[in-house]
Amino acid sequence: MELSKLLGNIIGIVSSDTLEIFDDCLVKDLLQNKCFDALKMVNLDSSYAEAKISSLSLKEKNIISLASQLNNNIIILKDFSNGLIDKDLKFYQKLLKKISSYNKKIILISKDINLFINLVDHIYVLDNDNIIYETTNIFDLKLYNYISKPKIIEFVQMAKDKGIKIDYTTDFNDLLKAIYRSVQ
Amino acid sequence: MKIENNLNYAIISNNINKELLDKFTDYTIIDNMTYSLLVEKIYNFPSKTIIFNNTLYCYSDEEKKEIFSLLQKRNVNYINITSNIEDVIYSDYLLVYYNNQLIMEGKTLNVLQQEKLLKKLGFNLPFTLNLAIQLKYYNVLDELYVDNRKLVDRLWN
Repeated sequence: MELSKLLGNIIGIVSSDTLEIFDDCLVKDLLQNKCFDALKMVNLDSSYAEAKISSLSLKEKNIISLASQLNNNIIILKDFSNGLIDKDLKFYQKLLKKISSYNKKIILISKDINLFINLVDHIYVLDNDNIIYETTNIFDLKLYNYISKPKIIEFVQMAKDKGIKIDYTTDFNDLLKAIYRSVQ
Repeated sequence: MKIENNLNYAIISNNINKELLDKFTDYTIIDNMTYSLLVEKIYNFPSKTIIFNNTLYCYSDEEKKEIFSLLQKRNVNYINITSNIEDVIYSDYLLVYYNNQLIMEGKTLNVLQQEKLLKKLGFNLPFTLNLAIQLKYYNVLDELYVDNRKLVDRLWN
């Protein structure tokens, strides 16, 4: 799909894909004026400007999707963590926090709880477009009726089930210290 | 890449791009697919080896276990190309790619014990193994674990 051929200012596209519909575009066509600033902000080098969307990996497409929305007041990212390794996840979580501090709303659609930890302030569970559960607490165990528990919370819950006094945490080192104290 | 019929592989990579996937053009690569469709696909899968391209990203642990168990029952081996380090513990053999370069390979648990190199590259370790390795440093454990239930039972039984 060629961007320049799309008519109107507010354009509705009915598609389950996101960037795939722009496969023939170059990254610079999608990012336009502030292409190089946007690439720099999302930690991609300037050579990506000339890349065709179709040549990008899933991870790169997700990052370009973020870059293309940097000027928006609402940023929507679907399965953003798909393709990210631990180092990337930490980088983009920091970046999303920074972007959010500019009074922008970020909506992350994902089943990957690891993306949400230490990042989101509100979680909604949707089923057929209806909100069926919401929480602000990552340690709210009812949330995990709908999504897999993070391994660290699963571990603490298993320990608690055995009567071990360990607090829920998302900090690996805190857990390590708590285990050490508990078994001594 | 030489694929042994009796092994299941995981490939962890910082960027699963065309160059990496092109190494497997002789095989069927499964991309994004719902759990129920994948189960159906496996029941009718005509080859001995299936390749997942981050296919299991949205799956729960239970669903992943079901898929791997079903593959075993159907005698289909798999190569799970993933960016999720938690998924590699299900495989026998692990290859680590960084920017399309093979950095290391070997039996999964042996490769995962190259903790410093993996972390330097930006990969973490699977949570339970990471915890067990640290507890081993503190002399709390004398062996490694990859399963939360087994580790909890070992620590507090």
